[in-house]
Amino acid sequence: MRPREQHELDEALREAFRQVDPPPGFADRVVRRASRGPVRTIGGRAGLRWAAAAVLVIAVSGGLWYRAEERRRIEGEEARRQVLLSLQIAGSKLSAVQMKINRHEESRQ
Amino acid sequence: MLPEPADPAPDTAGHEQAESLEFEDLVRRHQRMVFSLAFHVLRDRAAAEEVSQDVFLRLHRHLAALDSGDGVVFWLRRVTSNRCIDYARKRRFRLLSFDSAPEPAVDARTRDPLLSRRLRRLVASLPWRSRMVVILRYQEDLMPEEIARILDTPVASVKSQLHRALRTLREKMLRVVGDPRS
Repeated sequence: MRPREQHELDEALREAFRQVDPPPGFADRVVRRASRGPVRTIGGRAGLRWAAAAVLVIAVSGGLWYRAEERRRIEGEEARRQVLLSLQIAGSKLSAVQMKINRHEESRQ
Repeated sequence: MLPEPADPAPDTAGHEQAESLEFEDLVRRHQRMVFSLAFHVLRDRAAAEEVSQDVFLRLHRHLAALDSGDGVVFWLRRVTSNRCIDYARKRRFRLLSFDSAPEPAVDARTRDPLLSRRLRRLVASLPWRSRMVVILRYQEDLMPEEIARILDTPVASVKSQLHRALRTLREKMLRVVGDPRS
């Protein structure tokens, strides 16, 4: 690029990127927010989002853990019930056999 | 620098008041520079105001560590540049279409408003870092060495980004308005 062309482009860019006025009341809004003490900035809001995400993850994993524990408890109770039933059935069958043996021995005598 | 307080209790309040006045003065003095940087980079007034407010609130928190006018200006330029790039990346900020993008009010000193508008649009089509380099160069009239310090980048990289950006702008301008020599 020739020096004159470069100079023209430089000048045109300076003009295009001249400083502009902020919206009315901008400085007052900033001073008011600063005087309120610690404020939520863009980064602060990101921190809040991370905290909310962490709470959500903890709540979901807590819920899943509770459901798994509940399922284990129900399965354990069911297994215990089945064992007791099996023992009951076995006990009644043994009693029946014992009665038959007794009766058979009585008839021989 | 503010003078050392002699009596801690009443002077702490006085110091805070002086700091608050100093802060207000800094906001009023530099609001145009900070807002313009954000606005030229993001091309959105609401986003520029959000970023500018964030920059000044950060300044308020770091005011005690900054003790000279030059230091504050350098700090403001650096933080504004970083916040603009972060803002654009985190929010996957996209440029508005050329027709809906807001334009600053026409300045009476602007010789060719149409050319300025075209240049702003062309600069907006550059990658974020190149855009930042061009805006710091022409809005703030900074040399590549100063831009390199602000963006924490090697000077050679700023020079090459600027060179490439100007060549691209020149080519695109020629395509839009035609070669003035022809």
